[in-house]
Amino acid sequence: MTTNARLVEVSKSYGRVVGLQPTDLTLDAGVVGLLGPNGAGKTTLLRLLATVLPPSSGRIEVAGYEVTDSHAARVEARRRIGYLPQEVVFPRGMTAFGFLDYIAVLKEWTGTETRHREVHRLLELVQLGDRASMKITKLSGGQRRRLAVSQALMGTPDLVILDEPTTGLDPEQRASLRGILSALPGTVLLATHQTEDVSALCDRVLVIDSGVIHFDGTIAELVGTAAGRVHVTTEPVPDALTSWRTGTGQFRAVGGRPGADAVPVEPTVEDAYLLLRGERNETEGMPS
Amino acid sequence: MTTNAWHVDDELWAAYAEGRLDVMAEGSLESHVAGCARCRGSAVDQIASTELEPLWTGISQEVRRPQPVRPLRWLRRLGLSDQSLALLAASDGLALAWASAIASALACGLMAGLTPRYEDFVFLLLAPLIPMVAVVAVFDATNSLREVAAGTPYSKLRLGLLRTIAALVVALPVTVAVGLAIPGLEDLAFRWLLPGLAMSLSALLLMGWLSPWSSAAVVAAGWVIVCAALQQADNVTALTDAGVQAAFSAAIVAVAVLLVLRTTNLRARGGLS
Repeated sequence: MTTNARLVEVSKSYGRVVGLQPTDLTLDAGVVGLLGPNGAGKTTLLRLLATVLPPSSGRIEVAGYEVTDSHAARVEARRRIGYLPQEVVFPRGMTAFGFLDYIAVLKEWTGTETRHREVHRLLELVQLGDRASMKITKLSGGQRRRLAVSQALMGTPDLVILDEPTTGLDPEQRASLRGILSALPGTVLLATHQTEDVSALCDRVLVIDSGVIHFDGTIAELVGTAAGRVHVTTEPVPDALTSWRTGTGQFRAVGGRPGADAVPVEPTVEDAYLLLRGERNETEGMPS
Repeated sequence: MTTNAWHVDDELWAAYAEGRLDVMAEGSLESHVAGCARCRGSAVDQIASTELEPLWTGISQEVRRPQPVRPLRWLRRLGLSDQSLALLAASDGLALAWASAIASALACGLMAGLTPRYEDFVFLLLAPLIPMVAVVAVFDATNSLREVAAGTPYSKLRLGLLRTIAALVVALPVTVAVGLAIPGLEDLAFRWLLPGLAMSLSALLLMGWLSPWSSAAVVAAGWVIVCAALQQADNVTALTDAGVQAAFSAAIVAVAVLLVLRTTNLRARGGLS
C-alpha cells in the first residue's frame, strides 16, 4: 500500500498554547476521517500536512518528500497535495472560471489549453459547468463550497486534505461529493463534524482532542467500542452520557446504566464518538 | 424554379469522406451540397457524434470562458504570458490598483498645486505613498485566498514580483508625470522614487504579519512622522540629499533580501502569497 504522508514526532505550539502534542501518523491510500471537537487540533494537523504551517518539532513527509527538510522538497510535495482550508473567502469580482484558472496557474498548469480543460472538468464535476462566467458573489453558499472543494481536486493529488468540505451542502450535494471523493486514487484526509459522512465514506477514522489522537482505527473498530452501551428504554437514563426521546416515545440512551427493560441497539459512529469524548472528559474531570 | 434531380446517398458520402472521388466528382458534389438543404442535412449524419461532441464542447467552453478586462488585454498584446494574465485577471484588483494610483497621483498634484508655499513638502509627503497604495491594493485583492495559495507550488517570490511590477508600471509613470506638471519641483519630481520603492517593499514585508492595508498604514504613519518632523525643522528637502537617497537605496536592497528569505521560508504568514 502506498504511504502518502507520514508524521514523525510532530508537534505544534502557538506560544504557550499546544496545538498538537508530539504525534506519529502514517497515511496510506484511502479515505481517512478526522473527528474532534472545536479546538481539538484538527485544523492544525491539516495545515501541517498541507505545508502551510511549520511544525514546532518533528518531521513531516508527503509523497516521499520531507517537507520539513528544504524549500525545494516542500515545493515538490505541494505539487502532489490538494488542500481545502476550513474557510475560503473569494475575492470580489472573481468568476468561478477565474478562480479555478488562478489556482491552476498557482498549481503550475502551464499549457493554456490543458489548464482550461481541467478547469472545465472540475466545474462539471461539481455541477457548476453552466456557472463558469458567473461572479462567485452570485453563487449560493453550497455552490461556493463546491467550487472551493473542486480546486483541491485539481490534477490527481496524492494527498487531498479537506477541512470540513460538506459544510453548507444539502444532502444531495453531500452524497455527490462522497461519490467524487471515494473515486480518488490517493489519500483523502477529511476533517468534519458530520459523523454520517465519516461512516458513509471513510476506511479509517482518527479522533483527536486537545492535540492528541485518541483513536485510530476502522469504522467498525470505532463503532465496536460502543457495543452494548447504547439502549432504547421506556424511561430516561439519569447517568447516560446523552439521552433523548425518539419519535416512538421511547428513550435512546448513550452510556449510563439503563433499567431492566432496556434493549441494546446497534451503535452509530456518533454514539461511539460521544462515548469516547465522554470517557475523556470523565478522566479529566470535565463536564461532558 | 429548379429542382435537384439527385441527392448524395450514403455510399457517395463515404466515397467523398475517404477521398475516392476524382476532382470533378468532388467539385460537383460540393457545389450540389451548397445549394441543397436536404444534402446539407444528410452531411451531418455522416459525422460520428463522438467526433462532433469534443468539437462542440471546445466551442462551448471557449464561449463560456470569461475574457479579461480591456487593460489586461492590452498587456497580453504587449507580450504578457497567458499564465501571468490569469494571475492578474483573477479579480478586479489590478484595475482597482491602477485606478487608485491615478486618482492618488491627481489628488497629490492638486494638493501640491493648491499649496504653493508648501508644495515641496506636500509632494514629498504624498508621492511616495502612491506606489505603495497601488502595490497594496493588488495584494489585497487576492489576500483572502492566501491560505489556498500558500499550499501551491508556484513561487511566491515570482507571484509577488509580478503583482508589484503590474502595480508599479502605472503608479510610477503617473506620479512622475504629475510631479513634472507641477511648476518649480525640478528634481524633486524624481527624488520621491527611492522612498516610494522602499516603502512599497516595507509594506510587502509587513504583510507577513499584518493585513495589506494595516501594513500600508504602519509604513505611511512612519513616513508622515518623519516628513512632519523635517518640515518642523524646515528641512524637508534633506530627504532628497545624496546621502539620504543612498540610504534609501540600501534600505531597498535590505528589505528585498528579507523578502526573498521570507518567501522561501516555511511560514504561511511570513511570505507573499
